[in-house]
Amino acid sequence: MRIANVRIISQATFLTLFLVCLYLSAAPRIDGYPVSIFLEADPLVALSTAISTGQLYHVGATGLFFGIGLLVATMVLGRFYCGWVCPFGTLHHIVAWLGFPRATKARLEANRFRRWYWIKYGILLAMLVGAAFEILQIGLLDPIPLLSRSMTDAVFPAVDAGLRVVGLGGIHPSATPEFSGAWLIGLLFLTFLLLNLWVPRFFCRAICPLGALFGVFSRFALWRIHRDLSTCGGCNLCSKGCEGACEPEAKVRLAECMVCMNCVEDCPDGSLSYEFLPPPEGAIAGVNVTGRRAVLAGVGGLFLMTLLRRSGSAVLQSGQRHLIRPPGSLAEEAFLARCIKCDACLNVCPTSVLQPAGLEGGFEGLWTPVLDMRMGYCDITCTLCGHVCPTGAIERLTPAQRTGTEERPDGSDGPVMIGTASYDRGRCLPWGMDTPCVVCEEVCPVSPKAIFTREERVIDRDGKPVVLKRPYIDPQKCVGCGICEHECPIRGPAAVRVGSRIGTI
Amino acid sequence: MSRRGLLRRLAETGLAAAGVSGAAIWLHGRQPRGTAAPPAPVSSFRVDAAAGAPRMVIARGTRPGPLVDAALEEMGGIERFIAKGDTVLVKPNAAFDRPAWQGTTTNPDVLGAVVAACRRAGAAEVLVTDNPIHAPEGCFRKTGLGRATEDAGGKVLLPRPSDFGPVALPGTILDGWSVYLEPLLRANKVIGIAPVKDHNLALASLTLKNWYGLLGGPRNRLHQRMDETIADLAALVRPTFSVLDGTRILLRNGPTGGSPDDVVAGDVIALCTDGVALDAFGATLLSRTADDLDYLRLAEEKGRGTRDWRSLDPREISL
Amino acid sequence: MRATVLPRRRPRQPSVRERRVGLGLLALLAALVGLFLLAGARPGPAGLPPPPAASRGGLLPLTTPAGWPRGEIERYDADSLFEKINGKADAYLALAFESLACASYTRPDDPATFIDVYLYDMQAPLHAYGIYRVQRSGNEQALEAGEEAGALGASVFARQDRFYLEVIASGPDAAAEARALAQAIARALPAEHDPVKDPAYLPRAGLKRVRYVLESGLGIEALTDAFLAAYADGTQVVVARPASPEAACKEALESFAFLNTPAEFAVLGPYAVGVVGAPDPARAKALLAEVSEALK
Repeated sequence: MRIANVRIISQATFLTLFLVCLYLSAAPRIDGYPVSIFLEADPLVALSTAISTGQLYHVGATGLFFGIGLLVATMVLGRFYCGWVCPFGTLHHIVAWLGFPRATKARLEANRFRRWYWIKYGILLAMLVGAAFEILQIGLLDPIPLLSRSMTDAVFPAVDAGLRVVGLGGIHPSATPEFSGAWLIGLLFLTFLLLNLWVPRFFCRAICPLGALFGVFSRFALWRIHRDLSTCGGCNLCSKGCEGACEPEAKVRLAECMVCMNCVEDCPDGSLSYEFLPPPEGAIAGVNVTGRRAVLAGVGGLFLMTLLRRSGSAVLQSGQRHLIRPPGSLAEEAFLARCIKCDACLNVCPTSVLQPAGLEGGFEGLWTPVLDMRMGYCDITCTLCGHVCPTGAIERLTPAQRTGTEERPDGSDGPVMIGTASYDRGRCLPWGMDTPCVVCEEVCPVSPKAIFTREERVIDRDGKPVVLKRPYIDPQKCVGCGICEHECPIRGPAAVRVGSRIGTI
Repeated sequence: MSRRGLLRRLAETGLAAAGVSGAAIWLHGRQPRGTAAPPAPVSSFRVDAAAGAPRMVIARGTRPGPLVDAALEEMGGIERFIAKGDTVLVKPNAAFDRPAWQGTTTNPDVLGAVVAACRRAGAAEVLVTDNPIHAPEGCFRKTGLGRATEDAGGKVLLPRPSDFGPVALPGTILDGWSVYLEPLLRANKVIGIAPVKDHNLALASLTLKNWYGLLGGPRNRLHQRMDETIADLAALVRPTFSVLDGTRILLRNGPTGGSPDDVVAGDVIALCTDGVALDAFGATLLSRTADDLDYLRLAEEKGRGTRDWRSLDPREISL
Repeated sequence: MRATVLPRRRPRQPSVRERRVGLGLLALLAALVGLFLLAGARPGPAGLPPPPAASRGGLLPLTTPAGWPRGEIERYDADSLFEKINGKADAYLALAFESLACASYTRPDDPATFIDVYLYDMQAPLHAYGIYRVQRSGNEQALEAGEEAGALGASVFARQDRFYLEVIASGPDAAAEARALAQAIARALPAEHDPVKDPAYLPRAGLKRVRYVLESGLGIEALTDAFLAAYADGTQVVVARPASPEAACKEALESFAFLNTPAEFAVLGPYAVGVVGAPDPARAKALLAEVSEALK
């Protein structure tokens, strides 16, 4: 079996595994599968959250520790992850292969190394600088969270809806999930894929900060591509299939080489091979980032990140922010220092109450999970979101810990409260319209109920006395699950809405 | 251009023009896709009763399975109601995805026993379904109702949007309302199994309120005329017979419960063909009387049953 | 230097090493996929745990038969039992106490009249039997409730399956209601095991009282899982099922010899049978023989 074919099998396996993880990430199917394994094993996620929190999160199938293993492997083997494992990379590879012309001359031109490929190192540096200031935006461009988010918010719902239309069931166990703002996420995803028609693996070569991280560490690689000068005929065919645009026909750029083995395949003279510690003159070990570029990236990152941080703080102080975060979430600042916007929680949520935030919490919070009670409600015995969170932005709880029957690690007691509901009496039927209702009270799941009614006698417009049950909230009991808002028959803004938790003593 | 070439060109143009015109004529004046079907009536599922046949059975005991079997025996045997080859729809309460011990849904042992009895009587298909408030998949799984159905040889149906359609029920508030019609039109026998629950607005959630789980559309609006709605549910579904599942009684914080302190063991099951009578009996299990329930009075006034359950000469057995 | 493009004559042949490495990598892939699938066999995220046994089905009714409402239920486990019943907790803990649910029923128009209910979950019917016999004084009126019940003044004691029930009335006229309540609660308790009765192998003549202990029968540490019978003439008979009957008998004989108390012990299969404090050795031997015979 030729090694390039083994690579293709490897790419197919990991892409399939990634999609299977997303598929299995649903209540009846999840069992013990480590559905967040790709996110947990991402070294850039590990590095950034380690910088922003001072800790490597250790809960989950492997915890973030596994990413370090991959980094060490890169230091031995080179940037193999990009060529053999990365599911996003595989998608780019497929699109490039489908869409790109077959003519050798065009391909040689496409795989030419371009100097502006240094931008990915700039992005990496900027992101890490931001992380040092506890502004974690790595999830915007790290391929694993990016792919996870794109699939969850845009691609899977589209496929699910399509399957249902033709009567083939669906992917989600209940109805097709709907995510607001998915259009933008889907558009960006498609754009990245379509850029492969201009330059193959454009994202991997020019943007990917994870690839950049691997590239930086590739300089230590013990095995690398080696061109035997004595047999090389100078035909340049090795560049024809080069995935990383790493110039195997000249000095191979270790930071760009994705170990795809295509050059080894394509060489008519058999001059290229993957060797253990070949002579160092045949390769360029460093990255083409000059000192000036590095400073530019670092300062630019700092500036941009603090700008983002201002937008978040402004919203917080102005009192506009009433984001309801998933149950088990850390406090907002700590949450944002960990959330990589992978949207794994959105994928697993059985009611689709979790939605990707827009700008309502500041740019920092873009695409982080917030609850929208009109889309769904939060089942008080469900703790799936914390179960799949790879970085601990949402802590892992058992249902007993969530309902308060068992102690939680942080020592807080009572049920987890994510918000408090309150009535808009003008819109509420029994309050403002002399009409009986109290669906909210009926569906309130806690015992004793957080919504109670008082019978009040009113005179209706015809002068007749009418007895109405009017609902009230008990703030000591309300956990903010939102099923009252979800089931309220008033369309548009409901008559009872969940807002930030009212902190009662 | 040759003669043949000319003919070919004329033929091509002619065919294209004919095709387009034909399609236009076909599409002209059609009903747009997605137009609701006309309202469909739901037939009665009652079977004729022999003179002197028992009309109501109240069975008391601690083991639900044998209790159901004994109650059915006393009622005249399941064969009185279910014939060979029937398609039976059994409608439990699966409204919430909570474990059965919370007393908010039908006891899975009771459901299993009813489904098994129907299979013994030779039913071709025993379908079990509900349109719950929580997500259907989780409801049937966490309550144990899905497993109980399958173990007994029945089949769980989960509601899909295409299963709903407007119902024809003139003279009622439900006329034209979106109802979970597909299983109702598919079955020729219907059995309801309702748990006994406290309810703030309706004051009790019993046999008649159980049919609420077949409603679709914006059913949370019906709370504005709750008593009328429940009374009209008795007109929507005229079942073969109904089971009142009092093995657990949700005494307070209904219909969602949530705490084991809200539930007591009722250890009773009642069978009847008259849902109004069953509810009148069920009220006593909640320490209420039939007079307390406005919806029941309304249902009796509209001729859907009698509140005087004792007049049905109920047979009481004990295990 | 060759020309730029050469037609290839045959596909490249991978070297043996390349083939081996390729196969190794494929094996590694298969192993990773296998590990993933194996992980799926583990249980998924936990569901809602069932409530403690004593509260399943709500064994304390919302009102007494006459309609006195129940207050809030207090629950205690092995660690917190002492807070509620102080020194008495030791006896319960010695019999594998699991949980206590207690509540108060108050007469609607008279707060000074109330009934306290204590429902102990002792994990097994034998342990409930054991604690019942500890608490019972012997003077109570027999009552028809559960497997065994008695009323003494304002208090009712009962046991059913693994539960032990105490119902204590305070205030005038509460006693009758307390009995009715005890009977109602006992009726609702589960009956999942055969009823526990006094063992048949104990001679009936002169039998005053039978108890059961999990450990330290008659003060001897080794005598565990033991029925203790007290007779009118002061004799005590112990029938234990310890891990090692021989060692238990030996220890018992030594201890009683040290205490100068007459004792006869014998091993019978898994049982260690003893007669202690008999008025004369003949009586002791006779009793021992009778019990041993009945045990066979």
